[in-house]
Amino acid sequence: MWIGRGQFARDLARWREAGWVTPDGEQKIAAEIASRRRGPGLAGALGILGVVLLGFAVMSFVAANWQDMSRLLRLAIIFAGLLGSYAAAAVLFKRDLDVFAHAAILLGVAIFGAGIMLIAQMYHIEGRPPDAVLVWALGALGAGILLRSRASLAAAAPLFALWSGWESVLLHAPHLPLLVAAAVLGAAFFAERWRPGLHITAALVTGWVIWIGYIDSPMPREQAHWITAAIGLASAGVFLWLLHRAPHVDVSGASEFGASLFGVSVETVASPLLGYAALAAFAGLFAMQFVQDPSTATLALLAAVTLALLLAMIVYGLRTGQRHLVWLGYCGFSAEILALYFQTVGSLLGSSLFFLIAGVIVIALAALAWRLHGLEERRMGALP
Amino acid sequence: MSTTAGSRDVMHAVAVALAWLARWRLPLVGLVAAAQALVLAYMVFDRESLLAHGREITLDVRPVDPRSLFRGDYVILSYDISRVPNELFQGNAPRPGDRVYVRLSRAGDGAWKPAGVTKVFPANPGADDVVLLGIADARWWNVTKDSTIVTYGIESFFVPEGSGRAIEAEIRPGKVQANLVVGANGTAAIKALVVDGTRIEAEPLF
Repeated sequence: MWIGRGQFARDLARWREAGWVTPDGEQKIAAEIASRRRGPGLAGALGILGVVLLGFAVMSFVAANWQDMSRLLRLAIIFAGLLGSYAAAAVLFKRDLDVFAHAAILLGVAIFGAGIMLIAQMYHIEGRPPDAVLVWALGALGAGILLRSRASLAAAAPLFALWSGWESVLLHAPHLPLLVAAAVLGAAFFAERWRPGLHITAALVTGWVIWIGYIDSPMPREQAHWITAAIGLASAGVFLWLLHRAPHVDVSGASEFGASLFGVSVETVASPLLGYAALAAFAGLFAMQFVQDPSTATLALLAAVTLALLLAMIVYGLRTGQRHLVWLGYCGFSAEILALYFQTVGSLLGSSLFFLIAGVIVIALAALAWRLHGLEERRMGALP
Repeated sequence: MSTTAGSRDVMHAVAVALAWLARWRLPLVGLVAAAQALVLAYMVFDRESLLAHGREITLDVRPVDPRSLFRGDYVILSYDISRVPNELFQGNAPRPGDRVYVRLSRAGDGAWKPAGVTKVFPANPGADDVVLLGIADARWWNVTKDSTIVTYGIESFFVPEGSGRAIEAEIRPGKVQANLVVGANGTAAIKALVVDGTRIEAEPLF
């Protein structure tokens, strides 16, 4: 579990007052926490933001100023910008200003992409637009891996998403190569031990799965959101199995969770991934109900299944202390009820009947929540 | 080998690789810069050599729409050869995104017309024929009973910012032709647009 510094300081004071921690111990713990690295810090964050702004400046440079310079001059500016960024990165690395060096690398990656677009524009290259995006994404990936630049790796993710989405629109079919890109990206993030990278990779794959539902099949207007829902539910099953079965299989004996994968506990990986799988499943079910136009009986069945799954997830999240699942469940539940309201009101049920049913459901949920809350209180109280 | 040993081996390999990357960081910055610069240089070289050495042909065009959000103004061009008769695919209906080589022959009126479609570069195209590399855009709305749309990478032409609509208004009623160059591998590039006899050149390098 991750808690903020302020929360931790308050907890620490409370523990001292309860006599669990000595005043001396409290000070030492606080000093230890304060001495830990604080991530990139303000200066680094501003550096990165500045680079993002410069990147956009370079991009809009493509659209403006295009007729005033000779082609050679424009090429010279691109190459000077590209090589200059990396030269700056080298100098900054040498001076141990790593955060700024990484910002310079990100700028180099941005200029690389702008260069591809600008040269395509200068030479009237139409080609296959996703190919150009892929080259840019590979440039970002290469820089990210070789120079250990997390920002470049993170930038590669949306580029791969754009590439794959574009390809699937052109090919009119799911685009499997994205999974290879996501695997390489995920491995790179894993090697860097960068937790947000796990979320970036998972979001990339989740977006890909959801997008599958929206690719028209050869028959016009026929969409396959059930595939999205099925993939989401199946992967949720796998992650649930990993969470509850795998920890009891003692594979390494190294981690307190029993099983570990290259030193990372299965739980820390499978728990957030379960959330992404649930998101994909919900997106599929939601689209089946409200994007497609099912019969009333199908809609009622799908809605019942969806609500039951969401409730199960909320209960499971509460019982196992996986708070992100509880919040995802609440959000999904609200979205589902709201969409059902707009779908049914004034049509098949009539609004008064809807509110009656919704009211009964909400009261039942309140009762359930009350019981669960009591359950959790007792659990917390029972802790040593 | 137990999973533990396997996982330890991988962890060790990762640590070694990361240490190696850290040690050679400065040369690697140079390598990444050089690789990306080479990619851009190759794009330029490829086009310059195509424009310099490719075979020139002229096609009639129909401008479609003049605006792009990010890339400045450009005109979208459509050609008579963009619609390829289905019988030329010889029963192999293309899938969307398939690469196809379209052989063009001169018809009696001097216009280039598709005369054959193959999945590989044709072995013996006629001496006067031209072979263009295209991509079958065979999504259902682009396929009719008679023909399928093929794109050749010559469907857009950038014009000075702000002049897209003016040029389009000027050329809509008139006769527009594209002066193309075609490389030995079938890649095509636009050298100039000819609007009622006036050439709008793709700019030279210098």
